[in-house]
Amino acid sequence: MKKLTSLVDKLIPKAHAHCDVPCGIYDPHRSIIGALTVIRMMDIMEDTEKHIQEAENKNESALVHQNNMQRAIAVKEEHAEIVKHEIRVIWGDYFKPEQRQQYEDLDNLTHQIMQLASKSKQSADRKTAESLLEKVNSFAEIFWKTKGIETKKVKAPYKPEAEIVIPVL
Amino acid sequence: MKFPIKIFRISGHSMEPTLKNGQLVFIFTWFPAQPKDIVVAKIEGTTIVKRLKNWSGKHAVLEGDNQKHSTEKIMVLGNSIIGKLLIK
Repeated sequence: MKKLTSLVDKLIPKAHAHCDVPCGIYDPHRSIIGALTVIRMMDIMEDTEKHIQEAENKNESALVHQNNMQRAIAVKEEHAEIVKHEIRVIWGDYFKPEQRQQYEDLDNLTHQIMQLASKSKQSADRKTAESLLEKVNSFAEIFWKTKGIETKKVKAPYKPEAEIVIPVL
Repeated sequence: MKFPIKIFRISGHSMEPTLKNGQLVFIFTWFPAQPKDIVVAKIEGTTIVKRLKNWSGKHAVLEGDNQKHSTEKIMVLGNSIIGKLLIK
């Protein structure tokens, strides 16, 4: 009877209720938010640098601005890594070989994103971060195309108010 | 014509206390799911169980009942839903 029960049990498929985004669910939105955040942090860093200069010119303490600068750098670092992680996971786990063949530029695009995200960590160059967002948007377009979902470009409703790709649902 | 009833065993905690890990459930496949129904869907080869919150066009918005374990909503294509909970 135990053997029969065990056999029957093996035949019953599982329905997974063990995580919020189960295996097989992917969305490039987090990588887009990450890229937007990198741009935003660079803008904040530029503003903060001006405040530091002003304080130094007045012989005042720039400590609070230096603190803000360090925090912005840390958040930039974190979100550039989020971009790399999210893109890496989608490229490695979601895209099938036939899709990588169909979208010939996908592998090269992914590599460019990795490099731009690293460069964004190393520098405070807004153009690098803008290129990162542009490439992440292109990646998102390919992703949604493989799901048969159209996309459109919209202006993000928050700073840096840059153009992002969203699915049309 | 597909068989009306399918049986699944729950794996995980995101639907507690409604559905417990290891519990057997019977899913009815013939009629479309309505908001508040518990549904089983197949996504990229994985079968999941969640509650249907609402429909957004062709997409279904799913969420786990266990707010401590499952706080994010999931959007899936409507045709990935296999069926809805009949008996637990």
